[in-house]
Amino acid sequence: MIRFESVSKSLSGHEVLKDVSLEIGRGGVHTILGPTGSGKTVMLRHIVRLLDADEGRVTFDGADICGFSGRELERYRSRFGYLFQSGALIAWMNVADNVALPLREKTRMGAAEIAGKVAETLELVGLSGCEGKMPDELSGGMRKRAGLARALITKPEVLLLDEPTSGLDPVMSRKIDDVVKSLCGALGGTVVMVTHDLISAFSLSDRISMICEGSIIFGGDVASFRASADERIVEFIESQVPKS
Amino acid sequence: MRMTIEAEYLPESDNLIAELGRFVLTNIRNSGRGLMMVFEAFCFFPLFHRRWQELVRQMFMVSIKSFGVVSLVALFTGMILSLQAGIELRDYGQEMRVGTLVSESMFREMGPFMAALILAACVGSAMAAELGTMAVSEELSALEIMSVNPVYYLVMPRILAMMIMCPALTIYTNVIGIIGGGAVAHSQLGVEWSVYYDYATMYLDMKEIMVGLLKSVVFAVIVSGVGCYQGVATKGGAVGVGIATRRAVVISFLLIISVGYFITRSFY
Repeated sequence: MIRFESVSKSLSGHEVLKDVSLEIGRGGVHTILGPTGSGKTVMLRHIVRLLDADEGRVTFDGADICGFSGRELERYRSRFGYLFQSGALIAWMNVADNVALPLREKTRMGAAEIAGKVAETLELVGLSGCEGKMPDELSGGMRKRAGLARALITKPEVLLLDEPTSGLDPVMSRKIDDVVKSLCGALGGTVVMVTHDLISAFSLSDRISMICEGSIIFGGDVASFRASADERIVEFIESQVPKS
Repeated sequence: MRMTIEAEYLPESDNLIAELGRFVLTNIRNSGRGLMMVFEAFCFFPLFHRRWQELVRQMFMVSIKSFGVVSLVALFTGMILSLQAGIELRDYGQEMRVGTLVSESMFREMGPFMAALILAACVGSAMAAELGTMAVSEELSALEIMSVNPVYYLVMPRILAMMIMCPALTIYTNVIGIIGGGAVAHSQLGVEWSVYYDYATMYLDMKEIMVGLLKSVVFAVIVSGVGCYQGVATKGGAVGVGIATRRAVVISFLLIISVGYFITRSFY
């Protein structure tokens, strides 16, 4: 479905992605693992064309997404829901308005219908009763769940999650995992998650890719990732899951 | 069309000539990008009714944020003009004509100029800071992914609100300035209020009022356009927001002064 073909990208003179090739199939959870600053978020941003590749190309169902513009790009982006690392809620809107934003701006739904969908989606992420709260009144975990609700309200084909558990305590991280897990079952769509949290990755993923210093060094299922003898992977796993 | 607005900053060099070239090229490129953004915002003006709530909120912000400062500055500008000119005119026994001088100065130059400078400092900087914070906290990227054009959603209401409120504030500045000038003329120079009023309105024609209002509309586009562009093109966290805010004020000041001169020159 989504394919990176020899993608290279430099930001501020630093090569962030080096000849990256990766295929993400339809359905299930595909996790891109890697240490901080390895280029995970940059990959995610290429998928929705917040960034364009310097070299190589990104395709979706065989079409080069760099060729999309105007309405075509809008239609393409409407197939995605994107959870930002910070939640990226609009600071001067309450939770309900933030979640309703894509429906208000991009559909002809009436106010009552939108309110119903907002309530339903907030219940799904465990934020019922928080409709009137402003983003700065929410905890980090609640902000991420509100961001997740906004990403989900249009029922996207592909859900992109950028570090959904970073900066959260273990309890809240597992709550977010549970929400994502239940959503995966309910939506039956594709989830692409970027994280350095191994517990999340192991509990949610169907397939894992690991990126290190801008290059993909692994692609496979969870079992083969855990069994990998690559010392960078071993070191990464041991740093979070110490040997017993 | 990609919606992302990115300022471009070429890599720095130790060579003085290369550094000068970098400075010129960077500024030309970013000016072009800023103008494109303002043009795009103009193209969205017919859709303003869909963003009327934000438009009203911005109009309120523009007027309330600067109202107190505008009042004070306008009052003292008129008083200074009246005092400086009146003292000289009194030597020739012509102090009654001070009203003409104050009103002509306010309507032609000082009203639009002072209102625009205050708006640049109070509102333009706030626009840069607000949009800059949204840029560094990924809120603008979130809008893009939802296919909500940030220029339509955020920039258009700000520019339109400024274009409506800046002329209104300019008229207010002119009136307060003339009142301030009248107070000084009456108390310091002994000119009767009625005489001051007669001279203040005697030579004031429609051309002066309209050119002053034209200036205020152009200055409104400059202040809001520069503020919004610097905001949406912000990079680099809190430091970047600070730099964007300072740039918005400095660039607005320079453009207001230089563009003001060329408008005056083309009409008088």
